[in-house]
Formats: sequence, structure tokens, C-alpha cells
Amino acid sequence: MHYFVWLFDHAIFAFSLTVMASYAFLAIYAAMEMVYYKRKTKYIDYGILVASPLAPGVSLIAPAYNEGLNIVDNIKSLLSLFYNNYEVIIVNDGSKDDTLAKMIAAYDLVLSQEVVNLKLQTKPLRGIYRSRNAAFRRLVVVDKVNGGKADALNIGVNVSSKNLVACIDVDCILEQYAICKMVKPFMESTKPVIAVGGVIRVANSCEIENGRLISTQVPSQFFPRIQVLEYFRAFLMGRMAWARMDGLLLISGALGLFDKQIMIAAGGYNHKTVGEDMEVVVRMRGYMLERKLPYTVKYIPDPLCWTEAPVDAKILGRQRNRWTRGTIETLLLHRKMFFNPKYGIIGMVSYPYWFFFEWMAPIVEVLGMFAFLIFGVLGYANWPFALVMIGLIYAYAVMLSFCSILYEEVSFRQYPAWSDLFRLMATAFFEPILYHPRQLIWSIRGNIDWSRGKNTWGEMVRTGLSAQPKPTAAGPIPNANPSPATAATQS
Amino acid sequence: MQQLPGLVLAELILMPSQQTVLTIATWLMIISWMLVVGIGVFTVGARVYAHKQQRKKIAIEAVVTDWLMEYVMMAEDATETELSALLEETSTKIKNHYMGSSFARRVVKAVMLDMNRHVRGSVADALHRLYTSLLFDVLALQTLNYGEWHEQAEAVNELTLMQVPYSLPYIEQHRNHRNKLVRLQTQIAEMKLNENHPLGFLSEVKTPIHAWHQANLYAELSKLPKEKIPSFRPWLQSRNYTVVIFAIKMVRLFNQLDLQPYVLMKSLHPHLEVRREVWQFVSYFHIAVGAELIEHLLPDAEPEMQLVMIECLGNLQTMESEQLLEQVIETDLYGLRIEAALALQRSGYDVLGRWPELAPPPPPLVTPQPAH
Repeated sequence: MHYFVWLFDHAIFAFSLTVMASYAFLAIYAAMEMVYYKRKTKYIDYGILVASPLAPGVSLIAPAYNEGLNIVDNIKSLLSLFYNNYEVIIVNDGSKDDTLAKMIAAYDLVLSQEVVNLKLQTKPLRGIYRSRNAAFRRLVVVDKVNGGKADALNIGVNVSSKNLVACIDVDCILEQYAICKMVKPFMESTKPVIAVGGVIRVANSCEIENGRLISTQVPSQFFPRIQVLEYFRAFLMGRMAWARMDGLLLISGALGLFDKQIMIAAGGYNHKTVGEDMEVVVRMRGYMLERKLPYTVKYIPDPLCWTEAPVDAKILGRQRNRWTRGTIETLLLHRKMFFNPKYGIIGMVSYPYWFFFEWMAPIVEVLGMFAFLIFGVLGYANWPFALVMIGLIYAYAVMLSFCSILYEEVSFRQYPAWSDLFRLMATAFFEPILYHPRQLIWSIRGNIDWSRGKNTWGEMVRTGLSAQPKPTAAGPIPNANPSPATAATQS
Repeated sequence: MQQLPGLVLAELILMPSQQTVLTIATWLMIISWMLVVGIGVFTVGARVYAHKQQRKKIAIEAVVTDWLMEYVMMAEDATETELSALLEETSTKIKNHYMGSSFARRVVKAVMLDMNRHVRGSVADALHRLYTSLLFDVLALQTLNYGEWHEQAEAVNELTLMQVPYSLPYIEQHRNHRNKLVRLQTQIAEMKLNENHPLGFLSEVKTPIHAWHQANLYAELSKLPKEKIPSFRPWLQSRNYTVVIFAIKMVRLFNQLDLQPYVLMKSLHPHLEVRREVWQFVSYFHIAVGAELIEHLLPDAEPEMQLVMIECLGNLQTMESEQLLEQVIETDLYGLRIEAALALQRSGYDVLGRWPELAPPPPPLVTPQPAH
């Protein structure tokens, strides 16, 4: 038994060390990439693209399901982005509420008889609507039978008339220069770019007017505030580093820009998985690698997209459950990549990382806790070791959160109020105790639901960003696109 | 028996004792806590420092803007002697107060660059003289030669904004720099500083001019007076295919229709991107002969190129192009039936009226209720 305890202690220690080392590596690598990005974009004037006849065409595709509450404002926000060559495709995915009727009334839409190139198989199309008002010429509304987000995105890709397709959440708020920033990598890369991912930020408690972000504030509620930290870690550290290694496997479903031809050739979104955003990137990468075609996936760390984070534990739990299932489904669908040198860094590094540290880590953690309990009951537990490990993991988790706050502070500083900074720092101390255990439970439930074959999204109730209370001490949005002269001195 | 150091190390790594593991974990925990404190202090410090710098910057900006405003306003009507005295006075003031620290220097420079955007003629000349008397040009040229890539790009940008013509030979050397940003800034500088041959660098460029690069160059070109825009004919023959693409785009955007035959000749260029650009050109100007050319080239074109050609036919809107598209739809030539229908639809043709079978599968059409 002593041997088992020894083995267990060592295994837990080795696994923890590996996880910590990988996080440390990602943090350092992300810092290097951030420095490079900030230097590279110091003199960029995105304004030249706004009305340029050389700007590539972009179709913004936003599926809408029962979004009647805010759909009109959301579309208004999407139609007012700083870019000329783009269209907005809203896919009404068989909404049961008045989403379609509201769009028709607000934007003077009429049914348009059109040929559609149904390259990607989808649920039946009910109709395509275009506005009679020239001011809304960019708007296309597609009405279809309900088939889920992936299905809605696929029909959007079919209807799209541009070469680049941006798949977004209809309720997210995009920064005015978002498209300009997202298309730039497509225009300047030496290798063909197949996808570009953007950063998602939490919009809860921020002041929003007419679908535009007026000022930012750290959310007043606990769960959204925790998610701010999570998003910092995920977007400013994790994805930044993976993008530098060209090993990014996930582009958030809330904002991603894709090469339409490659997406269609790879088969579009998979409607059999709830993790369609990750799956499509993995499949597109696989498609290029199997054909030995040069390609790259880029990532923009600028805060381009603001979204409403789940407020209560029940809804957040459903979201995390779905993310877990989506990860498992994607990993299993592409299991041939696992340690397969044919897939380069994806097969040898990214996939195994996701397998061990995203899928397996919560399972190992929970099993570890159970084992400690059992050893404790049997009188074999090495308590000094257990306490030190708990202390170490807690300290490391806080350190990583602090690190991500620092990255945000020296890069984009979207929360200029002092109170926001201190609230985020305080949240970093509470997160491992008050939030992490729940996250483990949601993750384990996700594994259980996946093993039972559950394939539904679960209801996601949103209050709507326009309904957010006005903050009292919010800071104005820092200049997202400073002029070269101010950028020079700000640096 | 004394063990070899390698064996001790291997044992430590592969089979550490319980005590060793505990010691390592404890130390890691202590280091993590120290990092938490360190990063926390650094974060707060970074913000305090940034605020302090911001306040300092605002203060310097206010003073320097006043001085510069006074200087340029007085310089506008001043004689050469008066201007020299004024220059000496302002330059000495700035040197005494702000040239000592690099931060203050950067702020002064930023204020000058910003002001330079809004002034023209003699006022701009006076500002340039002040800029050189403060030796900012020398500093920029030094950075250009010895700095890192981002500093070099910054220096080129600065020299371009301040219109320092004698810096051109130094800037030109970076035309084919390995860094994209430096290359872009250099080429923009050449365009702005070389008044006689703003696009002369295109003949020397060996590196690719990407789409982003092209958009930037076009943005600068479109600011030039029309008579300064050269004919793009020489660059249609370039060996650098990206230069050919850029030239075709510029022929289109600057309406150099006399170059049409030279552009059409590129429809046989070995590079696909160049050929794609040719069809864009044909679409844009609705060149009637385009339909005939496409009819001739379509059978041997790659599938990707066929799509481009079909799209081009839709944009041409001539009798020939319409007939060719109808033929493609009728016979499903090269499997491009739907693409041809879409192209024809874009030109306003009632495609579904003639080929109703092309409509999407019949849906259970539900009439939406109007909103109340």
C-alpha cells in the first residue's frame, strides 16, 4: 500500500509539474507574441481599408434563434461597422418567437427569389429576404428550418457572395474596426491564411448604447467577473502562444473569419457536434495538411468582440458542459491526428495538449481528490505532501491570473478604473476556491453527458446587453485605433 | 561506494524520495507566491507609471504646442533673418527643457509630427527647419541604420512625415528589407520623397508586394495630384508577379484605359493571381472583347480560373457574355451551371423565371406575422 501511495504522490506531482510547465511556457511565449504584435501594429492605419476598393469582400454570418428581444439593435450594430465591402447575413434558424417578423418590419424586407449554390448540405431554406431600402442593401436575411448553429452557419456560407466569411454571434458587439483588423492577416501573410480568430471580451456591466460599447467596466456579478479573468487567460495567454506556434486549434464561435473556399472544400461546419467552432478549425487544418498545402491560421489579440457572459451558475454550467462535450467530440472525430507526425505541430503538440490538459486534466484532478480521500480514510495519506500540493496549485493558479491581468494592463488596458484592477486581482484569489470546484463538476458532467450521447446545446437564457444597467464609475473605452502620432508616445 | 553524479541526478529525476518531492513542491509554492506578489506590485506599478507618464506627457505637450504655435505663427510672415533668430530662440528653449530625456524628446517629436499634418507651405518649411535644428533627422537616420526593425520602421515613418528629402538614399537601402513593415514604410517613403519618380522603386522591388501593402500604396498614390500618377505600363512587364498584380489594379483604379491591350495580354500569365486580376479588370471596364476571350480560354482553364471567368461574364453584361452563360447553364458545361446562374442573376437576369428547376428545394414556406 505504501508503494501505491508513493506512486500516486509521484504521479500527481509529475502531472502537476507538466501542466504548470506547459502553462509557464505558454505565458512566456504569449508575452513574446504580444510584444511582436504591438510593435507590428504601431503604425497601422486601418482607416485606409475602410473605403478602399482593394479591401477584400467579407460576409458576416450571424445565426439567430429566438433573438426577437434585441435582433433589430444587433443588426443595426453589425451594419454600422467601419468597412465598405461587406454584407451581413442573418440566418433565422427557425425561431419560435417574432425574430423574423421584427426584422422584416424594421428593415423593410421582401422575399427575394434567388438561386442558391447549396454546396453545403443544410436543413431546407424557407426564403431569402432583402431590403427595399437602399440604406440596408448590405443586409440579407435567410429564413430556414431549425437545424442548430452549425447548420445555420452552413446555409450562410452557401448564400454568401464574398470570399471571406466571418462567423459571429448575432448578439455580440463588434469593435468598429473589427473587420479591418481581421482581414489584414489575409492580405499580408506570405502563406495562405485559412482562418483568423479574434478576442472575445465580457460585456456585462459595460455601458452600451445603440449596439455600441460606450464604456467598459468589470462586471459587478461574480460569475461574469470570473469569466473576465478566464477570457484574459485564454485569449491573452493561451491562444496568443498557440498562434505564435501556428498550433491554434480553436477559434471562438463568437468571432472568426474564414476562407470560404477552404471551408467549403473541408465540408463546412459539422452539425453533429456541439463544438462546431473548434471542429471546423481542426478539420480545415487537417484538410490542408493532408494535401500538403501551405497554410496558416492567425489570431488578433485586440479586443474586437464583446459578448454577454452567463450570469448564473446554472447557465454557465450548461455552457461549460457543452464546451467539454464539444472538445471531446472534436478530439475523437480527429483522433487520427493524435501524435501523428503527418499533422506536424497539430498532431504532435496541439492535439496531445488538448487531450491531456483540456480533456483529461479535470478527470485526473477529481480522481486525485478521491484517491487522497480514500488514502486518508485508510490512514495512508501523506498529509504534508497533500497540503503543499494544494498550496502550490492555488498559488500557481493565482499567479497565472495575475500574469494575465498584467498582460492586459500593459497591452490593451480595457478597464481603466483603479477599482476594476483591484477587483480583478481580488477575484484571482477567490476563483480557485469558489469557482474552480464548480468548473470541475461541470466538466465531469460534460464527460458523463457525452458518454450518454447527449448532443443538445441546452437553453441559454440571456438578458440582452442593451438591458445592462448603466455603470456608475466606468472608464471610457481606451482609444482602440490610436493615430500613429499618439501611438508613438503611448509606447 | 560513492555513486557517480550522473546516477545521483538520474535517481533524483526518475525516483525522487518523498522528502525530495516535498521540498521541490514547497519551493515551487514559495516561488509562485513570490511571483504573485511581484507581478501584483509590477502591475500596480505599471499603471502608476503609465499615469505619471501620461500626466507628464500632457504637461509637455501643452508647453511645446504653445511654443510651436507661437513659432509657426511668427514664422509665417518673418524675413529670413527674423526666422533664423526665431528658430534659434525656439530651438534653444526646447533643447534646454526637453531634449535631455528620451521620453520628453519623443513627446516633442510627436507634437511636431502631429502639427506637421495640419500645416502647408512656409509654415511647414519653418517646422521642418526646427525639426532639423533639433537634430531629430540625425537621430532618425542613426536609428534607421542601427535600430531594430520596429525602430527602423518608426524612423522611416518619421522622416517621411517630416519630408526629409536627403534621407531618401538611406531609406532606399531598406527597400527589400526582410521585415514587411520596414519594407512598406520604405516604399511609402520613396513614393512621398521621390517627387520625380514616385513609383520608381517598383522596378527594383524583389520582395512580394502583398495585398495589404498594395492597399497602403494605393492610399498614398490616391493623394497625389493626377498628373503625378505615372503610366503603369513598365510594371506590367515586371518579373515580380506581385508588381504585375499591383500594376493591373492601378491601371484599373486610375482609369488608364489605353493600357487595356497590355493588361489583356496578361490573361496568359503563368501566375493564377495575375490572371485573376486580369478578369477583374475586364469585369470592371465591361470590356466587350472579354466574352470572346473567355470563350476561347475557358476550356483549358483550371477549375478555380473557370469560376473567375464565369463571374466575369456575369459582370460584362453584353449579348455575347449572356449567351455564353446561357449555354453553360443549359449544358451544365464543366459543372458550372449554378455558378453561371448566380453570375447571370447578379446582372439582373430573371434566372428562376427561365430555369425554375434551379430554385432551392421547395421549403415549407411560412408567411411571417408582422410585428406589433
